[in-house]
Amino acid sequence: MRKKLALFCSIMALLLVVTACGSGGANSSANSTGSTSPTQAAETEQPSTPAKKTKLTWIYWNNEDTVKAFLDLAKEKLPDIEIEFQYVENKNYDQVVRTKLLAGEGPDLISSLINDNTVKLGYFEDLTEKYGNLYQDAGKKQYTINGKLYGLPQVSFFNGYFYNVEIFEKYNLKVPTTMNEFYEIAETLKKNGVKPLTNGYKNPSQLAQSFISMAITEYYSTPEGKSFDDNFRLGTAKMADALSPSLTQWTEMVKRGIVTMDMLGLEDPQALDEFASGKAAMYKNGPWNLEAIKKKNPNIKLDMFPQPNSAGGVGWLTGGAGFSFGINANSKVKDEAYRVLDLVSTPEGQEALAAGNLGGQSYLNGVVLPVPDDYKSSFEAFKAGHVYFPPASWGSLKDPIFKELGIQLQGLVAGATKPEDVLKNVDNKADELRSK
Amino acid sequence: MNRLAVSFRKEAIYIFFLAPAILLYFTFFILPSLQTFYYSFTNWSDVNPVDVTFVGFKNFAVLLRDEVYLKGITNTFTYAILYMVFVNVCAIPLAVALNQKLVTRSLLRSIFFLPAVFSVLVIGFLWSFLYSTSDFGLINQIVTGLGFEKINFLGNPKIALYAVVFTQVWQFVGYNMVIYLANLQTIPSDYYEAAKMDGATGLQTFRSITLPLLLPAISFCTVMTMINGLKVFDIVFALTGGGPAHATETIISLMITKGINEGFYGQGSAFGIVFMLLVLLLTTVHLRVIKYLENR
Amino acid sequence: MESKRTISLKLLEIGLLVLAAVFIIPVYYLFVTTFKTSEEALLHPLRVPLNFTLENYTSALESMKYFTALKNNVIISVAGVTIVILFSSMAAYVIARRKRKVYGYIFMFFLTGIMVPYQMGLLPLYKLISSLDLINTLTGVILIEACYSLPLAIFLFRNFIDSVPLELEEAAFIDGCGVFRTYWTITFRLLTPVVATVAILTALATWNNFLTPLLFLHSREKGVLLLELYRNVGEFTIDYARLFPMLFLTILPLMLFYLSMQRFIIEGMTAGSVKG
Repeated sequence: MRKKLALFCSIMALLLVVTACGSGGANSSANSTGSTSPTQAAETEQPSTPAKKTKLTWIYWNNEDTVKAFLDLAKEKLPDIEIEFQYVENKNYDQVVRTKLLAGEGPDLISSLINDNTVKLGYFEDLTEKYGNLYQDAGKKQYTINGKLYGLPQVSFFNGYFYNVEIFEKYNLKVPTTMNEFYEIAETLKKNGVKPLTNGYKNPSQLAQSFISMAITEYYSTPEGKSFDDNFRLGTAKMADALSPSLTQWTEMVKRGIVTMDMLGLEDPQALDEFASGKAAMYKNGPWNLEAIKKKNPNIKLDMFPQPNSAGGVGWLTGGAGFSFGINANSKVKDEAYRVLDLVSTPEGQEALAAGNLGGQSYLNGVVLPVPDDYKSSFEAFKAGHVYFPPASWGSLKDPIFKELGIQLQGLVAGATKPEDVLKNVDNKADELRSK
Repeated sequence: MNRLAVSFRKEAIYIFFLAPAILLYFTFFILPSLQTFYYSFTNWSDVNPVDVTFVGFKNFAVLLRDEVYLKGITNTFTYAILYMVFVNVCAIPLAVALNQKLVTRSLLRSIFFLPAVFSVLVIGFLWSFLYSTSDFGLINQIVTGLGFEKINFLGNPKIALYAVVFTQVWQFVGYNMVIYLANLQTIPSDYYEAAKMDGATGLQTFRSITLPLLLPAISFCTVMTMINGLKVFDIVFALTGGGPAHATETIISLMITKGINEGFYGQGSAFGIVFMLLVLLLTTVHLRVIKYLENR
Repeated sequence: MESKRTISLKLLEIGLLVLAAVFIIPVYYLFVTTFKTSEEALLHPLRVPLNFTLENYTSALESMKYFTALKNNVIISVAGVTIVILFSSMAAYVIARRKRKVYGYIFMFFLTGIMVPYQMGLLPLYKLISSLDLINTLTGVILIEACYSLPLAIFLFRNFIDSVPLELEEAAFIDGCGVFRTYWTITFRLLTPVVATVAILTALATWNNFLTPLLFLHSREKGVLLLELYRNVGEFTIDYARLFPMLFLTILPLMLFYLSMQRFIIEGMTAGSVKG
C-alpha cells in the first residue's frame, strides 16, 4: 500500500516538475513547429497589404451558392468589410457554433440558435431598438425572447409537394384537395409504374417535415390546435395526447406504400434526382431546391401544391422564417456586423438574399418579393396565410425534437417502432430536454 | 535526501527526454479527460454552463435507464466484434495466399492495401452512393440486374449496422493483411519443409505451424481492430448519421449528438467515462486471452 | 508432382486476381465517374468514359480552393509528423532503456491514450485551445493531432528499441558520450524502419482527421481538403459531375504518395508492429 502511495506521489511530483519546466518545454515545442510559423506569418500579413478590410465571419448551413448574390452585394456596398462565409451542414450547425460560443468565440454573424437558453447566456446582441420596427411580427415572433428581438427574420421558406406537371397531365390527374384524392393519385401512378413520391428520408428531418404537414391540416388548423406549440414548449401538453390522430392519418401513407422503407436509404439529392428525371411524380420540398431540379432537367414542368386538407378547403404549407441574422455578443467587430445588418434590412438586401431561394417572402416591412409561376397551385394557400411551421415555437426543443420525431418515424416506417410508441418516445425526449 | 538528489541528477537527462511528450500529452489529452471526469459528476449543460454543481452519480443512473444510450453500447460492441472478427478472418488467409511465390504478388498486395490510405469520410461518401436504393446505387443495379429485389442497405435498421461494418472491413483488411504478411515472412521455411516431410496436409500445417507463429501479429491486429472498432465514429457520421431510427448509433456518435449537440454535457461526460471503463475492461480480457494462447 | 504444384499456384493466382479486381471496383468506379456526366454515370456506371472531360476537375479545383487547402494539409502533416517522431522516440527510448518502475508506469500512462477516445474530452479541449489563443490556427490543430498520434508512436518505438542491441550504445558510453549524443548519433539512426512506420501512420492520421479541423479551423484560408470537400458537398448540391471529382481530388495526394512510395510504406507500416 505504502509502496503504491509512494509511486503515485512520485508520478505526481514528476508531473509537477514537468509542468514547472513548462515554459521551457513550451518554447522547445514552439520551436519544433517552426516550420509552420513563417508561412503563418505570411498569411496574417497578406490581408493587410491591400486596402484595409475588416473580416467578419458568418456561419450558415446552406451552400455558399445560395447566398452568393447577397455576398456580392455586400462586397459592392461595404468595400471595407470582407464577409468570410463558412458552411457547416445543417445537422452539425448547432453543435459547431455552440461549442464555439461556449468558449467565448464563434462567428460574428449567427443564423440560428436563438432561444431562451442562448439569450440567457448572453450570446446575442439585443437588436430591438435598431431593427425592431423594421420587421413584421410574424417573422419576429420566433426570435423574440422576453420581449426583445435578437435575430432578424430572413426570407421565408416553405415546403410543399412539388409535382411533375407532365406526368400529372399524362394520367389525367388533378391537384388533390383532400387526402383521399391524394391517395387515389398515388394509386393511379403506382399502377402505371411511376413512383408517386420520393424523398430522402435517410435524413430524419425530411420525415418529420412530412408528418408535421399532416399535423397542421389535421390538428393545428383546428381551434384546439392553436395553443399547442406554446404548451408543448412549456411541458404542459404532450404530443401523444394531441397528435395521435394525425399520426394515424399519416400512417396511411406508409400503409398505402407511398412512404416506403426504401426511402430511408435515400439521400435528399438522390431523391431530387429521381424527381427531376421523371421517375417519381412528387417530391415534398422547398424553393431552395428549385434551381437544382431545373439544372438537372431544364425541360421539366413543375408546380407545387400544399398539403391537402382532409376536411377540404385550402391546404397548408409548412414554412416560416428561413434563418435569422443575430450578432455574437462577443464579436470584436460589432460595428461592422451592424453595418451588414443595416444592408440586410434594405429592400436590395432582401432581394439579394431571396435570389437563392426564389419564392421566399421577406419579413421586412413594405417589401414584397415575386413568387415564380412554379408555385401556381400554392397561391391560394399563400393568400389565405396558410403557411406555418410549428417547431418555430418550440424554443430550444426545436432542433432536437424535430430530429427525434423524424428518427421515431423512421422506426415506424421500418417496422421497428410500434405506432403507439412514436409520439410517446418523442414526449420522453422532450421531458429529458426540459429537465436539463 | 542526498541519495535522492543524486539519483535525480542522474535521471534528469531522462526526464528531459520524456518531458516534451508528457507535456504535450498531458495538456491536450489528459487534462481535458480529467476535466471530463470531473464534469461527469456535475449538472453541466448548455442551459447551465457556468454554475455547475455536484450531482453525484445521477448522470450515470440516467445512462443506465436510457434506451438510446444502451442501444449505442450494444451497437458499438456488435460493431467492434464483427469488425475485429471479419477483418482478421479475411486478412489471415489472404496473407497466407499472398505469401506464396506468386508472379503478381506485389501488385496484389498494393491493391488490397490501397483503400487503407483513404480518409474514412471519403469512403463514407463513396459507399453511400454505392449502397443507395436510388437508380444510382451501383450495388443495387447489380443486384436487380441479377434478378433479385433491391437491398435497402442503409435504410433498413436491421441491416444498416452490418452495411457499415462491411465498408470498414473492406477498407482495412489489406492493412491488416500486410502486417500478417510481414509476420509470415519471419517464419523460417524449414518448418514448412519439415512438415511436408512428415506428410502434413496444408490445413494441418496452417493449424500447427502458421497460426501459432502468427500470434504476435494476431495479438497486435485483433487488439487494434477491437479498439478502433469501439472508437468508431467517422464512418457512421458519413454513412448514416446514426440512423435509421438509432440503428447505427454508436457510443461516440451519441457522445457527440447527445453530449454536445443537445447540450447534455454532464451526461455526455459520464457516458465517456463509462465507455473508457468498458474499453479498458474489454482490452484487458482480450489481452489475457491472448497471453493464455501464447503460453499454451 | 512439381507441375501439380505450379498449376495450383497458377489457379490461386488467378483466383486472387479476380478477387482483387472485384475488391477494387469502388475505387475504379470513383475514378471513372469523375469524367462522366450524370446521365452517363447512371447508364453505364462501370464503362470507361466516352468523352473525357476535365471541366469537372477545373471547377472542382476552383471551388475547393484546392491548393490553399493542400498547402495547409501538408503543413499540418509535416509539422505533426516531425513533432511526433522527435517527442515519441525520445520518450520511448527512456521507457525502453531505463528499467526503473516509474518508467513502466509512464508507459502505461501513455498506453491509455490508445484506448481512450479523444472525443471524450472535446468540450474541455475546446475551452483550453481557445484560452491558449490557438483557435483558427494551424498550430493548434498540429499540437492536438500530434498529441493523438503520440501514444501509438511511443508504443511502436518502444517495441522496436527493445529489439535494438545495447552493445553499440554501451560502447559509446564507454567512449564518454553523454546520453543525449549517444541517442542522436547511435540509437536514432538504428530506428529508421520504425521512424518510417510512425511517419506514415501519423501522416495518414493527421491527413485524414476531420473532426479536429472542423471544430478548430474557421476561416477558409486555414481550411484543409476534407473541410473543403465537406463544405462543397452541401446537402442540396450533391451531383455526380461535381461530387466525384472532389472526392477524387481529396484522396489524390494520398494516392500519389502511396503509389510512389508503396514499397517503403508497406514495409514501414509493419516494422515495429510485430516484434521479432
